Amino acid sequence: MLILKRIKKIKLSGISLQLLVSLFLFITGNVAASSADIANTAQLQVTPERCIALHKGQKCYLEVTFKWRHSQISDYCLVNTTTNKIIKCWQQQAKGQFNFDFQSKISNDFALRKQKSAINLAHTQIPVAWVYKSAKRPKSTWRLF
Amino acid sequence: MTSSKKITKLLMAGLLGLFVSSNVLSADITHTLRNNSEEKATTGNYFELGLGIAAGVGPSLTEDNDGWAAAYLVINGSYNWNGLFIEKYGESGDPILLGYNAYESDNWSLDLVMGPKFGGLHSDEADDKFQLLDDRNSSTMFGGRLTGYLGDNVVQFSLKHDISGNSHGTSASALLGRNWQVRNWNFHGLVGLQFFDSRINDYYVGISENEALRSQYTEYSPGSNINFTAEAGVTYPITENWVFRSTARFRTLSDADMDSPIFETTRSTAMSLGTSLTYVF
Repeated sequence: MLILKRIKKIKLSGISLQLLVSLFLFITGNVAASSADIANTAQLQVTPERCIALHKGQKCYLEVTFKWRHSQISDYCLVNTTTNKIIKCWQQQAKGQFNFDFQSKISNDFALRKQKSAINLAHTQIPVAWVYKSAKRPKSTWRLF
Repeated sequence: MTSSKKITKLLMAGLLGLFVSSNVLSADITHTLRNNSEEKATTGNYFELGLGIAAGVGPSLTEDNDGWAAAYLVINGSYNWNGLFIEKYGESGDPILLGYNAYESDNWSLDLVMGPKFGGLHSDEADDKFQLLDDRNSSTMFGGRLTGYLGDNVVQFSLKHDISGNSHGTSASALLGRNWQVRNWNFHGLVGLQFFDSRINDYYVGISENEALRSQYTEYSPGSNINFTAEAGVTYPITENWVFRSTARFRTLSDADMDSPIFETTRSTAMSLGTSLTYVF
C-alpha cells in the first residue's frame, strides 16, 4: 500500500514537472516568437488606395506612392504579386518610398519581400473599381432623337 | 401680372425652350461614346441623378437676344429586360424612350424604339404672343435605330415616324462618333446629320391660314430640312459614384425653321457648353 502511494506521488510529480516544462517552453517560445516578430515588423502602404475607372473593362490609371518600413536593415524589393514582377529594389535600407504609375484593368496586390525571397513581409492592394459596373454595352444610350 | 402668372410664364418659356431644342437645336448626349465600353452586349442597367449648368447661343421663341444660360436636373438611366428596354436621359432634355432590341450581332444592333418627342405649345398657358395660335402637342415617334460598332468608331442610323397623329411627321438621322481614353478621362467626338420632314416643321413652326387670320403672324409653310450637328465632350469618374461631364455642342439651323415668324430671335447656328455632376446609384 505504501509502495503504491509512493509510485502515485512520483507519477503526479512527473506530470507536474512535464506541465512546468511545457509551460516554460510555451512562455519562452512565445517570448522568442514575439521578439522575432518585433525584429521582423514590416509595413507597406500605398496612397491613394483606390483606382476608379468609368466603365468595367477599362484600364484604370493612378499615380500612387508606396511607402515601406522594416525594423531591420537589409535588401528589400517591392513586388507586384498579381503580375509577379519586381517594381523596385532597395539595398541595405530599412525604409523606402517609390512613386508608381499604376495602370491596370484589375485590382493588383503588392508585397514587400527580401531580395531573392518569395516570402511576403508586408502586403497591400490597389483595388480597381468602376462607376458603371455592368460590362454590357450601353448602346441604347446613344441616340440622336 | 401676378407672380403666379409670371412663374407660369417662365415655366412655359422653359417648355418652349425644350420644344425648340428638341425640334431644332438639341444634340443628345452620347452615352455610349462617353462610357467608352469595350464590351459588346445588351444595354446596361443604371440610374443616376445630378445637376448641371449650361450656356449658349441660339434662336428663341420668346426672347429678343440669342444668349441663354440655365441650370438643369440630370436624370439618366436605362433598364433592360429580355431585350425590352427603357431609357431616360435628362441631360439631353429628351423625354423617356421605350424600345426592343430586335437584332444583335458582334458589330450591329437594331432597336425598335418609341417615345414622345418635341415639347408641346399650348395657347392657354404659353406666352401672350402664342395665345391666338393652335396648340402644338408632342409627337410619339416610333421607328428603328441601327447602331454599328466599327473598330473605335460608332455609327448610328435612325428613322422614326409620328404615330400620335399630331405632326404625322418623319425624322431621320445619321451619326458618326468616336471616343478616346486619356488616362481616366473619356473624351468623345460626334458628327451627324438630322432630317426633319415638312410635316414636322409645318406642325411645330408653321403658321396656318386660320392662325394667320386671327393673329399677327403671317402664314408660313416650311419645307423639310437637314441640320448638321457636332459634339465634343469629356467624362471623368471622380469617385465610384460621382461623375463629371462637360459637353460642347454645335449645330446648323435651316431656313425652313428660322424663316418662321414664330421665332423672336433667329440664328443660322446654335452652340452650347454644359457641365454636370451626377451621382450614379
